[in-house]
Amino acid sequence: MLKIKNTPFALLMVLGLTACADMSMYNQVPAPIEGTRQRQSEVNTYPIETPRYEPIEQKQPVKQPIVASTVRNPAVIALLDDAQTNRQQGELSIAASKLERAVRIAPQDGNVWHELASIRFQQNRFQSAEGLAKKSIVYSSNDRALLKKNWLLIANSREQQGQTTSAAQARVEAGKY
Amino acid sequence: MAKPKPRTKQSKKKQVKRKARHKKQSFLRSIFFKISLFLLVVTCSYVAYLDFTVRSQFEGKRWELPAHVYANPVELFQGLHLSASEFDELLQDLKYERRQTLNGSGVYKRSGSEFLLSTRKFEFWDGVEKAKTVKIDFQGQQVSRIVELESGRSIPLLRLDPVQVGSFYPSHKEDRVLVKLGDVPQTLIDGLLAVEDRDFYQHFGVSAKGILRAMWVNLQAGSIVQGGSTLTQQLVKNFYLSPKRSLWRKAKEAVMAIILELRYEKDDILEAYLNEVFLGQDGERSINGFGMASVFYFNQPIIELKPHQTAMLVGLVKGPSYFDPRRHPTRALKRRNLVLNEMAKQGLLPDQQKKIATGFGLGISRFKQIKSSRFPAFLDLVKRQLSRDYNNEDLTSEGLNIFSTLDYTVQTKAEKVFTRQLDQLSKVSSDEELLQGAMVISRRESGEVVAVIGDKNPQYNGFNRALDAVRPIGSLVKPAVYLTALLDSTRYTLATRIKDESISLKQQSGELWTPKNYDKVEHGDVTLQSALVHSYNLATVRLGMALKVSNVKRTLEKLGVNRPIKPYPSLLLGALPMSPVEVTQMYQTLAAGGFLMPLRSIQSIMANDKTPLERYPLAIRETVDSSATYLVNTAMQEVMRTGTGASVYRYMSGEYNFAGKTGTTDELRDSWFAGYSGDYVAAVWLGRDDNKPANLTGSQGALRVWASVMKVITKQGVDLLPPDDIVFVWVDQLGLRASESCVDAVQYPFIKGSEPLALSPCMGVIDRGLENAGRWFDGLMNE
Repeated sequence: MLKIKNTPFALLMVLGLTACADMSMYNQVPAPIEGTRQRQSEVNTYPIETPRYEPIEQKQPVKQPIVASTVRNPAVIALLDDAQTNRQQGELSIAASKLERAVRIAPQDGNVWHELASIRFQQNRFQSAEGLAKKSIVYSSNDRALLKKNWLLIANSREQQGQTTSAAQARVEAGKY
Repeated sequence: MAKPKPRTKQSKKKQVKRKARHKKQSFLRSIFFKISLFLLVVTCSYVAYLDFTVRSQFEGKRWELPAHVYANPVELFQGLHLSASEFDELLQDLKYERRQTLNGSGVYKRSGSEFLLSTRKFEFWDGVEKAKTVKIDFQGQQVSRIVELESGRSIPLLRLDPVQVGSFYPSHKEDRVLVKLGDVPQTLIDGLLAVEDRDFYQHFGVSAKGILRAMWVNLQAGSIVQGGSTLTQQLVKNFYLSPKRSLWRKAKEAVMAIILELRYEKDDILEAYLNEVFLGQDGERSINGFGMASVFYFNQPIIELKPHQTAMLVGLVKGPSYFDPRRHPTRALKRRNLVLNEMAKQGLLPDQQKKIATGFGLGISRFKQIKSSRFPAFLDLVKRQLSRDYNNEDLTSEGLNIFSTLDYTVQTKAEKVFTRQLDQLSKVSSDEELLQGAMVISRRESGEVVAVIGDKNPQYNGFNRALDAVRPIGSLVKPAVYLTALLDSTRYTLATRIKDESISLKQQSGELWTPKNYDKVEHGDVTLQSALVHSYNLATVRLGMALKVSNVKRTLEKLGVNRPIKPYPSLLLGALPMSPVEVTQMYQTLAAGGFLMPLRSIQSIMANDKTPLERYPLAIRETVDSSATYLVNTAMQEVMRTGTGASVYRYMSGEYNFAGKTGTTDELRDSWFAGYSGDYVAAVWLGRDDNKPANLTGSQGALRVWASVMKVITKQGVDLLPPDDIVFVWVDQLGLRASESCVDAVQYPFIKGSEPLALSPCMGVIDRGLENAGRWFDGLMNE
């Protein structure tokens, strides 16, 4: 039958004891999966307003407009909403999977990165949570509430890893917003 | 009275004879008994052995199922950059058939920029996508609206079923899609029983009646319409026995068929038969079971098949190659109609339906499944990344569903351009035949590998240069040297001037190392940025020595280089052998602004029964300061605008703002380019396997390939977001603070606090006044 090789090793990795090996191309650790669960069917369907479509004039569009947090793609909203539902039902890995789809659609949406960070935090993957929150900061632009949430998440992640000094620094950063 | 002797003698003799006969008889009887007993024991043991064989295989894992690898699914949403014609191509790739009317799933209808599409159901790791019919409109280069026809509502996101891009087959290369009896259309079962085994539900494994009837029917028809073996016998033959024909095998087959019947329910036997039977050959791959055959011949799930289709599949049982509908359509059609007639004759199909069914053509899909080796280099990466958690046996027998990160469109477009470019470059290279190459493309924001090419003939499944051609990276190492400098913003900025003058270093061997510039010229005092942009060797070596080679080594490690690095001075000019995939990893970290994300080729894995097994998440860590990385990235954009990469904008709009670096090794042995657009990171290597000069520099060879591929895949230019502590300051030729109005002044980004304060003589009184006021104001704000 199907067996995972190196079980004790995998366990160690999951426990986050080998943080560095975690970041290599050929040695990636699968994310924890919750036990038996009912998988929710596809992305929910929401009625959306008349399409905010504007024809593009140039022949070959070069830059896609950076998705600003105010005018977010309905696809991303649907995925965020769905991920939220999954999260509330404790289906963290499904929520994460949907958020990664959202990253593919809108890689520069700070909110998506933040949600992903929060899920990693819930999964006790603190180092990854911190990385994702920092990525979210890059795309937070002037969203002060989001910046604050990210710095607080970083502070909490550092605390969980026993890094009290740097956690305090992150809290100071959070205080600025 | 004495008895006459002779008589006595005679009777004695008789007695002896009788005794002897008796003895002989009892001996014979005992021998017979013993032999019978022995035979009985042997037979019983043999039957027991057969019973054990039958049971162990029937109850254990019946089939070794290949793992199937899927591409990343296409997700459509309003505003997606995709033209109607691109979408049409995409549907072809996804094997959707264009028809006049929408019937069944996997079909579409197009009128201009409007598409009606019936999607296929697919079970993903995070949920099921139901089959639905949608209307998709395009306007210009974008998807403008997606409406579900049934409800009439707009839907925000439509995920299509993914392209299957390859499989990991067991050694016998049997491919099958397991089906449950309940999913098989009744007409298929009816048809199968009608022509193959009419008494299936009555007999006990073998059927004399069946044999006699088959002979009679075949005689009447003048050809072989029915077979004499029961389905159970056929299953036994395929499942347990060798294809050799002999009387002994026939007997064994009958015994095993009876055992099977005694042990198991009819429905279980039928289900096993439906999944086992051989129904076609596709190159090395054999098509087994009706589930796979349905996909192979009709490109539809079995549950959707109509009577004319099920009848054709049933007809194949007799001879999959003789009745192959692709090679012998007339024969196949005749055979199919014969099945339909037989069904009607037995009252299993109403005459009316039979008429309709015989009216159809064969309706064979143009699409076959993709060969197992369609994208060998990418599949190789998948296999290696899986090897931490799965061994080879799991991959070739458990029927895993592997959801990969491959982007079908990017991979196929890249392959096409890559091959064409290599053909052209071969003509200028040292030997037309021997030029080789590799390319890896990943998503800039997530590190997902979307395409891998490991050979100039990308479909050739051999040495995978993308992963295994480990070659010195030359100047590709330089961004790491300059990044090391910029990480120390108290000492270095992009405007810092360094010396590009000859230098000799003693190597460990005692030999003297005297590097040279590519143009053999010394350029004197140059800025850090200019040294990187023009890839000056002397300035780089001098800078690297000042920084200490071990610090450059550390930066490389932070960028994700995992192989052991020897901290010798020659490292500064790229005496570091790496594979294209490792180079992609290094540049991925730069492209992501200092965030290391291990390249991933797998998203998730599901078991054959669709249970989720593993998910490989997006992992990320900030390993290099984002501000210093930002500075290097702007310098790499300058490489493309005015430096060694400038030829790129001969073919493409300058608005793309690509960032990248060329690399060339001694005697033009290796031609490298690595860089990124707004959406993709890619590395290209060109060279020869025998390590002889290929006669191409980085910009003559690899850059050309890179640019041509980017041209067809990228949809987004690079828009670097400066971190909060970056300021832009005009600087004159002497490195003094200047203004836009100064002649020859250049604007550089600086990490706050590292910008020059001393003012350039070119600044007028007003400029000076403004500058001082500004600085005073800044100081006030920061207090």
